[in-house]
Amino acid sequence: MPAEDNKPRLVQIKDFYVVLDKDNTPLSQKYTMSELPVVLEKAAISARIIEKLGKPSNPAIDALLEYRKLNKKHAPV
Amino acid sequence: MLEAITPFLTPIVAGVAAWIAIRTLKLRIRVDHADQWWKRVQYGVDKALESGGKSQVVGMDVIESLLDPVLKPNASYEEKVNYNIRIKQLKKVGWKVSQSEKDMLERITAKLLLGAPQPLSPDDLKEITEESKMDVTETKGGGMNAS
Repeated sequence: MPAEDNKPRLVQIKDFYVVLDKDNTPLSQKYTMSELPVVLEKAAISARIIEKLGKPSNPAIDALLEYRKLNKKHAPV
Repeated sequence: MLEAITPFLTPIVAGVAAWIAIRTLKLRIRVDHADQWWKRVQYGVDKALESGGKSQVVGMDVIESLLDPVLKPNASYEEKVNYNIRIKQLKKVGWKVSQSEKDMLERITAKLLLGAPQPLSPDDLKEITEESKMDVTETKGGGMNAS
């Protein structure tokens, strides 16, 4: 199995989004479609905070950032 | 004997008193700085906990702006000089954030963003499994088309 498949990912299920790990265990709360742009914006700030604190990156936050990078339609707040 | 020492003793005592006063003042400035810093962090956390999406973004932005600047690996000479000046200023008046405080800030940040994960219902899990099956089928189909 490629390493990419083991990384947590943001998945859309019905009318909500959630970050899941490789075993489909939720790593985040459920986000509605309308919440998503704010969540992705917050993820970008969180990643910068964690970097400034000198901490290793959080895989769940990385999954949100990855989604943000791939889906440019979610404009910043 | 004491009369002979007194003229020399007075400036020494005054000097020690002035040194203690300056040290106390510097400590007071640092304590006040740390106190104000935590009050601003608390404001940021409170703002981030509000229900509006924009308030949450502003709150997290406040927390980010209160952390020390990080020097980029490809920073220019000017940026490096400015960074060093800022760090020196922070060391003079600033208060070191302990490792446990950093850990706490990291936990708060993650909690604000990820919330409390809840297990998925069997229906939701079934939907994910079906989606994965579709992906596999699409990949196989794509492979056949390519050949």
